[in-house]
Amino acid sequence: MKVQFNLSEKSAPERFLGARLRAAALRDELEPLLAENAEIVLDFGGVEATQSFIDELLGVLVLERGPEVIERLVFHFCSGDMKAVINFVLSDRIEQYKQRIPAH
Amino acid sequence: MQMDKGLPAGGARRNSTESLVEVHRVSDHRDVEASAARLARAVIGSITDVRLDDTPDEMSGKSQVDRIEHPLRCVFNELIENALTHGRARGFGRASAWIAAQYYPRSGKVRLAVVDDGCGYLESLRGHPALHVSNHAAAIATALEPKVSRNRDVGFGRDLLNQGVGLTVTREIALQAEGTIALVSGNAWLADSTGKHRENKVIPPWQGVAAYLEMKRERLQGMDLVTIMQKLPGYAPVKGIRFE
Repeated sequence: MKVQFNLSEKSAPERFLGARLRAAALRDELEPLLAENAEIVLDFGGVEATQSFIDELLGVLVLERGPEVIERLVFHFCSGDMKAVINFVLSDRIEQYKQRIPAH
Repeated sequence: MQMDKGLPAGGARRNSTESLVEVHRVSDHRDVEASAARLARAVIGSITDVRLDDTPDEMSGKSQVDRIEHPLRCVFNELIENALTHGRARGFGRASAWIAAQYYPRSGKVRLAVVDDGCGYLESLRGHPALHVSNHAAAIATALEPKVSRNRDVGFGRDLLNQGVGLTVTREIALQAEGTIALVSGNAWLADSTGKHRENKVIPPWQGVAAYLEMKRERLQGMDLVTIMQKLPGYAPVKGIRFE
């Protein structure tokens, strides 16, 4: 099953997601959805977020669950800036995850 | 800051918009995002030739306001969050951040400052393998390096982390906006400006960190955050990522 996680609703009225504290609270909403659904659609329509926010929301998921979690996420309506931020955070945390887990 | 000496004869108040600036204190992590957004909007509101109800262009989906506002909000957010995270380590749990920003129409520059009374860079990085010399100037230079503070000073929430690139990105935004970033911590002052060598000087000591940025408004609205992110160490295309 696929479910929508609408970040533009959650960022109203400023359409800006910046703080790690807010990201951690949203991750607490996201994790039960990951447990119950095969895929989550993250809707970034009209939203800008900082690298810190994306790291706390998604980087932590990679560190806790491994890079496989990315295959269960679909990113909708990301601006060019958002795509670059998401790419940086995920690639950096994947690298860190791999360094922690010894190769078999 | 300057105090207004009252109304002159005839009752006309002097225009002091370039010499007076409002200062806000932030002491709660829950206020970081709203404070960053409010301050960025206040700066944009003072730019008289930018319409707040400007419509987004079809290509980028962004208005002129969006293009100036986003880098400003990022910078404020990172600097305030740094002050309330790293600044509150090492026994400085009650530290606050004071923030101010102003647009100067004659020069076309945005100037902003975030000052905290926390532990300062040297204390924050004490014992860190990347800090080769134990003095304030070296600590500021080390703090500007990407990933040095990664996952340092965490633990005030369930597992809030830190990637250690916020200050690096802030510096890159200032330099791309043909500006300056100056940092004060302890008895050291360090500044990086577009096209100039790094400047250092010894100053009267300040307990905590003060960050000052000056940026050209014209350059802010053409900010290329994609290139800034792509230049960070660790950036690579992620296999399997789906942007739709």
